[in-house]
Amino acid sequence: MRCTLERMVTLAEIESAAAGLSPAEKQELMLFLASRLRDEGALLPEPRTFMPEEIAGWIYEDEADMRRLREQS
Amino acid sequence: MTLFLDSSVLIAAAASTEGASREVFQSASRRGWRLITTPYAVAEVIRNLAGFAAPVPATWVRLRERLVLVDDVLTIDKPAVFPVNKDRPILFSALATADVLLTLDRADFGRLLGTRFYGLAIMTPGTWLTQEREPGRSGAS
Repeated sequence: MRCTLERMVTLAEIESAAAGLSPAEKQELMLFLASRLRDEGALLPEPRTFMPEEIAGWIYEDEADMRRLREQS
Repeated sequence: MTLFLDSSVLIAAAASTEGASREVFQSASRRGWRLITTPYAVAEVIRNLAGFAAPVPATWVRLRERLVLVDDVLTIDKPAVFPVNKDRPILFSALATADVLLTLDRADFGRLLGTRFYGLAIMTPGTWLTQEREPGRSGAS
């Protein structure tokens, strides 16, 4: 298997080899790739800057919800 | 019961005395709710409260003292089958640490509001308070 992998240099060759794997091996490969992708993408993004209108919308909805709660009690 | 508060809820709680987000803070100790958030969410609050006039920044400082800060979580060992982009640190941190994620952010969490993500309930503070008022619900654990 190691010798086979070492000979694979193009994505097409890797895809072709993956097509020949058993369902269990394909699942294992998928989980391996997902794990690598997660690790590579695991950077904390910049804190978001929200639009004033968006924040005003949150506050409006939040207050409306509280008014409804008070009216129900 | 552990509640994860995202930046939208924290900002709303600081900015308004009349909203459900502030009520969550006011009810927490009496109801046995543990309020948590992450450094990432706190950074968003500080960035977005910069333009608010007094007393909002001072209110935020007082609210911050009632929060337990947990580490940001950037990855999970489960597939996420929907787009998670900038909100990913919030969702994954909440999943790792809380029972409920409270958010008002429909732009990022709209599709998830009212649902569960691997057991994590996602809802607005208003929905949470309504649910906790129903007979037989205590919310404490």
